[in-house]
Amino acid sequence: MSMWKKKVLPLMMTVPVTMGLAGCTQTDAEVSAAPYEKGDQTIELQFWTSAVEEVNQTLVDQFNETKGAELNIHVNAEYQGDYWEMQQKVNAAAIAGTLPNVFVDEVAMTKGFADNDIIVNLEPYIKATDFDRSDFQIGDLGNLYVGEDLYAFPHMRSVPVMYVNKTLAAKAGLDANGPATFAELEAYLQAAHDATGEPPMYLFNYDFWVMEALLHSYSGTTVVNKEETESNINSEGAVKLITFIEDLESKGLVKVLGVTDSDAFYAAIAKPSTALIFSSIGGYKTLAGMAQKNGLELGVSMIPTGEDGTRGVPVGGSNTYLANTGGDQEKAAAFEFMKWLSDTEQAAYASANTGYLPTRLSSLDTDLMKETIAAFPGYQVASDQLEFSKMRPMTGAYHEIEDLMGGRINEIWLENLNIQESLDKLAEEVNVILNR
Amino acid sequence: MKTLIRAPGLILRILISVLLIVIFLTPFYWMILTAFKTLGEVLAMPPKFWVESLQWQNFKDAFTRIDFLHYTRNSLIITLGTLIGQVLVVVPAAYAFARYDFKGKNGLFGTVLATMMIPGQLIFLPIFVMFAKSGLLNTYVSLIVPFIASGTAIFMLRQTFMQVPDSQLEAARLDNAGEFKIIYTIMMPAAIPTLSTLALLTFIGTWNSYFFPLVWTTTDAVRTLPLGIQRLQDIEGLSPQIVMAGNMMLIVPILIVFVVARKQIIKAFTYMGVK
Repeated sequence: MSMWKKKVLPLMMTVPVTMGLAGCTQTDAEVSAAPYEKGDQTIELQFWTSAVEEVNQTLVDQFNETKGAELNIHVNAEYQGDYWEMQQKVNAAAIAGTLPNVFVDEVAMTKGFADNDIIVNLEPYIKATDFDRSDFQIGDLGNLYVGEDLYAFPHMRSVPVMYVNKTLAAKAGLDANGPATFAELEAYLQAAHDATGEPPMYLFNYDFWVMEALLHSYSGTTVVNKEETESNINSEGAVKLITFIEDLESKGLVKVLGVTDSDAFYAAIAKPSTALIFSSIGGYKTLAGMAQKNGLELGVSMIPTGEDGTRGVPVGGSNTYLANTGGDQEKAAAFEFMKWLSDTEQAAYASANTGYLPTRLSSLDTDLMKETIAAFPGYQVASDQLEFSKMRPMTGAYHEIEDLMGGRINEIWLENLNIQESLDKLAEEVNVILNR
Repeated sequence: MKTLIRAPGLILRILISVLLIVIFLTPFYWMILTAFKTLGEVLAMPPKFWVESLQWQNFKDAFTRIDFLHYTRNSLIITLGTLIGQVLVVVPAAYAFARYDFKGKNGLFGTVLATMMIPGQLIFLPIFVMFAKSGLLNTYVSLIVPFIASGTAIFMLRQTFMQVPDSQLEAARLDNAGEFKIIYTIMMPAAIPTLSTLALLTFIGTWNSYFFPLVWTTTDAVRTLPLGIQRLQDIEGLSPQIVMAGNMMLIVPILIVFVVARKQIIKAFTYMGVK
């Protein structure tokens, strides 16, 4: 069931969508859009949400009571499951003609949705309403664009960070900020291991964007080439990274967890013997709370740098998309909602109540964010790390690819397979998917 | 002497039985244990195989953090609707295949059997589109109708109906009994173990179904309890103890039905096995 859900279904859904919609791709950049004009009738919009449901619902309620009431727009939020379930449902709805007006989904899906004409180019709406996008300058914004055109607004933004057990660091006489470079990582972990006798670091590779960060930072490479036609997973840099982690694992300094061990991975945060883990800033408040319950102080540091001071972190999280459904007035109303949802106060609210980063520069100046950052300084570290941010691959098949790579790379570590041979084979499989 | 010779085999059988029991019961034990733990106990390393004090609060949280009654009601309506629908469709179909000769019977029965080999994942999209076009999305109908004509149930029941002696049917017909009466008074009582087994399998399958209610619903109106429990994960963040409490409440009806029907189920499998 899991394989069906994660691998076969998205593929099955993508093929008919692509076939059904091929040839009718919009050229919205050339199309104009009229700004929303308030009418006598209330426009009802459907908004499909994914992840952090309560925050989304609260924001929708606020919209309906304020801006929505003013503009005669009413939004109905409906939770649809995680990002991958949402992707399947959106693809199915596109075929059935039941798309919602606006939906939330993972950032790497922009191009796939745009290529299948499921979402609308936002440039005409931005032009029609003189919308200022310059405030969206937090991290690499590549996953909002297809070519030169904006196809999405940022919703919840996250980056992988290094969580450091400050309590253990103090006990073991280690730097409370963790190792600054990968060259220091082994010595750091060895000292922590010597202090407790237990594995000091856990790696959950199925959260593959952490691996993207390690590939950027340790190896100075990427998962796929720039054109997204070929995999770099068997490149010299990638082989060095996988070898490095295998070496740490064989010395008992890193414990690699399997696909069903996500709870065990997060539980590792609460262990006094865990010195470091790499994970999303999106879970910051939850993880800090768990650590605190266990009498541990949790710090947030940037992902260590590689040999030449290289550091790169993928920007993940979610976007909001304007679906290609409804008439002009409905789309204009939906765009008004998207604008409101991404505005300074709402972005600050979403960030302060989750752990995700605010999506606007101006949000950082709000009282709410200032208070939040004062109480949780990790937000600032993650925000500063955005200087090194990179966009995620845009290919519509990327979810299938990251699933495949997460599994195969874990097999290498857990079954001690030949690294170069296994990665060569993996690269071939990825190339087939990329060029399908 | 004989007992001594047989002893090693007996001990081995007992050991294997105990091992199987442990394998099957451990996940249940772990679920129950987790449901009663605090988050700290859940996350404790090494894991604890007991609890310090029972955390009933987890059940209260699972019950109140989602609209538990709404999801339970939907699950009940869909499960009972599917069961009733199956009786109305499957019993006459199985009777016809077992007791009538008509043109195309073998081809039709082959078609019924073929439906058992088509994975649901292959047909969910066309069915989704069909329901969307006919305005039936997010209705109970969309979650009941596709599961009424079960190929497995028709096949199993046909096999049972074929075992009823012809003389019984002839006697009933001599007494002017109609087809409905024959089905109701002769066939169904003779097939009670099979019907109980099918009912239990349908109950479990429909009650636990996650995939189809997930992909065929876009609002909360008719979503079922497994989706509600899954939703707890998003609402609660990292709180496996609350999700497990929800899971425990999810399986209670299945356990009750199993306890009530277990004798009939054993009988059905024994009966079919002998034949």
